Amino acid sequence: MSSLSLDFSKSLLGTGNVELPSKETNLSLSSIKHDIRYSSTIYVASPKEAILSSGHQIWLKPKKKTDDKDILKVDESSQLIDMGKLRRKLEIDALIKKQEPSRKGRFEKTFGNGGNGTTGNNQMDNNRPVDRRKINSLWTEKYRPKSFFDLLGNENTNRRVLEWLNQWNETVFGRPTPEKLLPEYMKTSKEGSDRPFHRILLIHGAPGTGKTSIAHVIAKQLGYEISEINASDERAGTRVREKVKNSVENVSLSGKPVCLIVDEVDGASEHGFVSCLTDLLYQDRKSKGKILKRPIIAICNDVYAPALEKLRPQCEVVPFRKCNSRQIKARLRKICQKESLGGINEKVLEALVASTNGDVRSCINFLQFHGNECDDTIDGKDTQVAWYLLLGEIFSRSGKSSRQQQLEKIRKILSLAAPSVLDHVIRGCFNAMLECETASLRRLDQMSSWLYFQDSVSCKYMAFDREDIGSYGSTATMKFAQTFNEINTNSEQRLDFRSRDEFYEIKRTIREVIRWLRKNPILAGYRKNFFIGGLMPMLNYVLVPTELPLRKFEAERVSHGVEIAKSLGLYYGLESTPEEFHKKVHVFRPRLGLFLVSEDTIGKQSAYIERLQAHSIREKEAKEVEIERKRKIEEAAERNDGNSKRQESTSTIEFFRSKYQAMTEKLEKKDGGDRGRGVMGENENRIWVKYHEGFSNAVRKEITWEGLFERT
Amino acid sequence: MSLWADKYRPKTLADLDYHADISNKLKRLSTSGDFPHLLVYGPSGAGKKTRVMALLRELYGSGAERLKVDVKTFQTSSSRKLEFNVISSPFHLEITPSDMGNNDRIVIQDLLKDVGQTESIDFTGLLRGNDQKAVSSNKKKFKVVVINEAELLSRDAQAALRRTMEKFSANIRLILVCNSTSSIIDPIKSRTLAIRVGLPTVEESAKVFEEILQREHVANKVFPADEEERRILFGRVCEAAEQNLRMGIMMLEALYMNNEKVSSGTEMIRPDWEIVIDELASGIIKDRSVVKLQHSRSVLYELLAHAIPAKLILKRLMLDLWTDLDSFGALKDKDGVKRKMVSAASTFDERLSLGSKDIFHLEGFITRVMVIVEGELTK
Repeated sequence: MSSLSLDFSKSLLGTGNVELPSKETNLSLSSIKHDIRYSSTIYVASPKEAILSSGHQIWLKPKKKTDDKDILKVDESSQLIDMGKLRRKLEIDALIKKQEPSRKGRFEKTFGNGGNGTTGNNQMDNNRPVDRRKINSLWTEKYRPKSFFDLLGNENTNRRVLEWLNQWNETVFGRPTPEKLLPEYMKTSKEGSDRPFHRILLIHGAPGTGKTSIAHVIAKQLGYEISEINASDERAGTRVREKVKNSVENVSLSGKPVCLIVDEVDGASEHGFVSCLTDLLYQDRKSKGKILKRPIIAICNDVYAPALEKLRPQCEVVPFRKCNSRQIKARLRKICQKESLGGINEKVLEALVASTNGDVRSCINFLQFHGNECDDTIDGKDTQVAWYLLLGEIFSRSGKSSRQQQLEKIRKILSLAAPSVLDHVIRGCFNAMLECETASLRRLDQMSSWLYFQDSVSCKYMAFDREDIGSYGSTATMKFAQTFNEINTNSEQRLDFRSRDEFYEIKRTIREVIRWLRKNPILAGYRKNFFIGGLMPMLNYVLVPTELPLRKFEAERVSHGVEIAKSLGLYYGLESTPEEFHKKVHVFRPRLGLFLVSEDTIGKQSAYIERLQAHSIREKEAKEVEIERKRKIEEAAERNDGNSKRQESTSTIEFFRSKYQAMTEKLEKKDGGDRGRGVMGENENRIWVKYHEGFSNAVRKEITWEGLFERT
Repeated sequence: MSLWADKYRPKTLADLDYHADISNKLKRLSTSGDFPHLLVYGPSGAGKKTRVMALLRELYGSGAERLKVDVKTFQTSSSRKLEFNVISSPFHLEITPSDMGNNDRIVIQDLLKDVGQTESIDFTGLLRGNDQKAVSSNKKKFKVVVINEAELLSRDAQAALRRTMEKFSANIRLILVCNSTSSIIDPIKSRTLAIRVGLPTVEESAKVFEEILQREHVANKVFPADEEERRILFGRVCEAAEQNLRMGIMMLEALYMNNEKVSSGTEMIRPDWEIVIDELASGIIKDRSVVKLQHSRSVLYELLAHAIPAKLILKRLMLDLWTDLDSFGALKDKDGVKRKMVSAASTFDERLSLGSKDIFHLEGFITRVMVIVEGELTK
């Protein structure tokens, strides 16, 4: 029976090698034992004896509290403790403690030395970026755009945000907005050009497209202090009201005006929050005294979230699309340079951008955490990147391995993939299959059955356990690999996995429009098929003639159109075209034009819809004038009627004052004028007048009658 | 109520223009005071809903026309909240459970039970006012629930409906409105009185058009004065609208709004997606290639993006292919092609129901059609 004593305190250092090197077993055990015993007494007085299940006897020593600085220990290869080394270490510790201020420098220096000393030591090389990360925080924060010119993405969109915020200049800073930044409606409108028409800017777009960044950057650049409310803050009605009010009405400590950025509005399940904003807008419109004086920028992912239904029409909506991959790649390359990630080549970046679907944030995150190690080979665990590359694998033969091997590889990866990845892959297969050279009608027909199989499996996925049906998930993809795997030279070109963002966006918009329209009792009863397929297109034709202009009976036709629009509860609105943000076209709200498949009608519709709007406004104005006239007549009549009465009691205070005076006069006469100052004498009970009545912080305040009168 | 189709919709049973026999039956039904559950079926645009509304008016007076839309929320078993529109008047409810997809059962259960368990108080005396006498004899203590698109109810929902119909028959009368009864389960058919409302004939439709134009003086001037020309024009409108009366009226209105002068030869205005599919269909038959398939894919994406239901696209495509085949020389007399094509259409229709990715199956259908046509030509 041999007894080994292991130094457990050493394993706590994190770098120690607990196993005994094999060559040392040749040495006499007793001498080792002696050695270790000796060294252990330095640490603790009494080690405990323990017998392992294997029969070995070991000595357990109590844990020794260790310092982080122990990491500095250079040589860890030996199991035995060298007393000289230990002493040296203590010396270094002491030195470090002494030179606390310059500690960081020493750290770096030590590492530098270590790296030089052990050339090619992998461990040391890896330590460096790890450490820097600790100091520099997340790269996504580090490389957040600092100025307007740093911003990625559609410049048009960026400029639109800038312009909107610039339009606040007059209200906030009192300096006029540059003339060219003013949109048409602000130059001409009666209300003056002090604020943009929509008081809230609503930015929406997919995650990682830089929405929050742009809001912060532009607000900062224009000299605002940023006050942010996001989903992490409590946003229940009353609480947030205070905060919003504070930031909108007050000036920050730094003296800069505040720009309120409301992040993640769509996530606000608390309805109080959105209604707080709408209330603000309502006040702004209704009462002159409570106008909104500070810009508010709202940010969300899903602009059609039900929570935003009320807010949306009152906002300037700016959609953020994904920036193009060239821009993202350029930015990532810059980061790579700065962080000296040499191992990242163009191909990796390409794959990265494609797999994250243009999400810049997750690209940077990926870079940070994978550092130099990321390459474009498929890693079974890294499904995020993998699905895109997997498609390449499916559709093109690599020269390196045999067909069988390649199929086997694909199968392995697929068996590990999550259902959402499979979904991505199958969609990608579908998108790419037409572009294959070997695609024939017959083959495609065959594949469509496989697609159906895959579709039905994924539909039923939730109904079964993963074990039951999961293994079938990859079969269709395998079939694709079998059918279309081909040697192809220009594979990069061919694999076009277009994202159908636009497709989904229109679909969502339309669904929203339908939901809205269906709240009208007249429209709610129609069958869905007829509603979409018949009613809506025809309604478009009825409201807006395709062939213009029509001269005969024009007025009648226009008024007929206006009447229909009114009966269906349609509004008129301005909307920017998808191509040009500055060009505003007149549309119906909700957008009826969306129901026409050939959308080129938008431009044509615009002018006519404007006419309808003008007509309806004229009608409305005429009605209002009529109402106003009536009101005036009534008022005049009333004035004549109660003229004399009114003057008597102009205000309650006057009324009471006169009463009071009459009373005091009476009293004074009675008492012979010895009480000059008031009704109540010193000894009588005083009257307490409640101050701030009805509130929890009500105070009692002593005031005299005169004081009361003067207060107002 | 400014669209002609709404403006001139008959309000009472007496106003109905055609199907006098059905009107009489309904009239008798309403005077008897009580009536069984109804199953009103027929093609769309025939006037089912108009008749149902007229019947309700007959029963309850004009109060039944004061409609409002409420949004009700339901909770599914997985505690997801669903919003659901309910159109209601003081006397009836109107629901479209198929909006909810597979959750329609919950709507049926919750809503109907809710309505069924509350006895309605007899306000008729208050609301009818003048013709109180007519009502007082037969107290209508039930509420009517109109279920639209009943053929789209899932099996579960229909099963849920089945017992409810009997259990709460004291308080509820159901009127199921649907296009065809083929997917309505037998137990429900046996519990209801079926009324079929057929499409109006061309003459009947023309009569309706004429009446509308007589009341729209300005529009009347735009349309031809000659009687014969009008007859031809109305005939063409009917044809374009597939005898769907409501569609026909909308087309008539569109014609008025879009043309300086309408003559018998004026081009009809049809929903543009139909035209897009027409072109697609003729393209498919003429050019059967992968390139064409690519083109058709983008067309399909476009159509789907505009929320046009996939099944509607498939149906329209099939019908267009059918007519195109007749004019396609080489395949004119081969019945086999059409048979194969219809069979393919039904296959892919099923796939659309079972799957969730519409684009896969629509394109699959087009591919299949190409293969069929190609196979027939090379034979």
